[in-house]
Amino acid sequence: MVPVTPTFPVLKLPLLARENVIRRMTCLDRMSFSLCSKRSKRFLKSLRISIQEVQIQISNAITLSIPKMDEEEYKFTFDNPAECLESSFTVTGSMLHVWEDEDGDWHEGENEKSTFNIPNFSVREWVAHILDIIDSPSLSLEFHEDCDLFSVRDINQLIGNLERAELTIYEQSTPNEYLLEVLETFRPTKYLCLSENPFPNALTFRKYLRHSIDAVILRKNLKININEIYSMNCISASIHNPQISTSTLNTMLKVWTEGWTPRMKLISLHYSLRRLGENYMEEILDGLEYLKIEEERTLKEPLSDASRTFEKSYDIVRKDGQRATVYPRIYSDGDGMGMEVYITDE
Amino acid sequence: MSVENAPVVDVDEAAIPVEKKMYYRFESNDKKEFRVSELAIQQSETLNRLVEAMGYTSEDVENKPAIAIENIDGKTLKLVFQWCEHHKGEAIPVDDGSVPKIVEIPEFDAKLMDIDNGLLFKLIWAADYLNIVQLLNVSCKKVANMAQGKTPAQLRRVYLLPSDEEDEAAKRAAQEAQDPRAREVEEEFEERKRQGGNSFF
Repeated sequence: MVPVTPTFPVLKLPLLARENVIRRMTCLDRMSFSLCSKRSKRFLKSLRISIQEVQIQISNAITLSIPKMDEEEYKFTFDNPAECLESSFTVTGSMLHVWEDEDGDWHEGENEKSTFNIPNFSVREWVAHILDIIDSPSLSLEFHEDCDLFSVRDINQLIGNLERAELTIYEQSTPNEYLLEVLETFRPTKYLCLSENPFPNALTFRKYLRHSIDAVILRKNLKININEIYSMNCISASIHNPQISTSTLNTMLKVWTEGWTPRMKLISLHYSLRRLGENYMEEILDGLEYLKIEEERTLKEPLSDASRTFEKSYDIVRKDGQRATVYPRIYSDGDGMGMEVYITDE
Repeated sequence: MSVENAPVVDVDEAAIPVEKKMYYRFESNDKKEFRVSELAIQQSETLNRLVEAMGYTSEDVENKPAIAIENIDGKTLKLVFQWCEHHKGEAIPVDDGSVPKIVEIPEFDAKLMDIDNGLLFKLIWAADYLNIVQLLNVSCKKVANMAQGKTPAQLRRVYLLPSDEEDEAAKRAAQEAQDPRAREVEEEFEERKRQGGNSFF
């Protein structure tokens, strides 16, 4: 048996090798390394290990989710964060490896968890430390049930000056005033997903939708009528509960052919086939000049590199020659249907 | 040391096409000599460029002195060439550096690196100097594995990382060590100015 020297002077390695060692560490060990000293933190930061996105989830706890780290996902949680936002006493943070299996169930790696207890590190210091050592262009904020345990002001201070480009508000019983404050404080530019409608009236809701946001998802709890859709200033919209009949949708398409919303590239309206009746496509396309495309084709999705395949679709053309593809996508449950309108340059 | 007595690295001759069977001779800084196949050398960007630039023929290899590698000792170089011979012909990985790639240590490499940390340290320096990408990856992975499950305090001990206080103390000591000379330069400059010189140089 070869005697093993218990120490290894990693900082005396040549620069490339030193970087290589840190890059080969697991996410948990890199976190430990970053906490060794200011110098080790600076070194890790200089590697600019890039992460697509960091998610901060606010519920009765604060969790930092770091997807695609080492091609896996890690979650960082704090003990007693509510108390720690108020003061600066030491808070214990735990980092855990989580993954999703083929059936969509999430698992936690019990042996892949590290707990850190650093003197004088409050939640604020932790969040600042983590956001400091990873190179992420985008921050996504998620608000879940019990998020009002934390004041919006405290959360805002926690995040600092980072661009808050993505915002999701999940289904919850939080007071509307709180959610409105969230929407105003963390006004997103890239992505908004709403499962609640905290707006006091339709006018304020429409006013909010007029802001330029790349992608908007409005879930089932939000009943969306045609006026709200006409207010939207986004590239991609997904409406889960449209209060729009097939004849109104027909009008919307006619308005589009006249030049409405040149920015929008995709709108998806979710319907129940039972409610639509049999001749829904005839009603939707009534009075429009269209071309029925029988063969399968693939179109690129806006705001991503993904493509979608269409089996039977209908092409309509705007006054300026811009083409739109109307595609009734039947979901696997047999009843759900997404009426998708793709505006493509292809 | 003569070529006949040199520690020859095991070579799987069957794996090398006859027409490309070419060997080079290298000498470590402690005068140990090695014969290494041309295909194995391709794992090292540094050596590959060197032999290409030299344009040796088979006769040259036998008649001219072995190529000296002056900053690597024989023990380390033997490991390096054993690794290169085992992995000859394999593609050299490309890492864009942004997202860390997962590196697995193959069984052969694990056995080869079952060495004390002092020699592992030298092996990494050699892999870096000779630019052998995959050897650098696996040897660094072995060092990275030493961090597994360690707290920051434990990690400081394993990797000999100075604490903030130690870094500060070292910085102060370096400044103090530099100051006397800086003062001397300043005094010399002032003296020359007094003597009427326009330029320090």
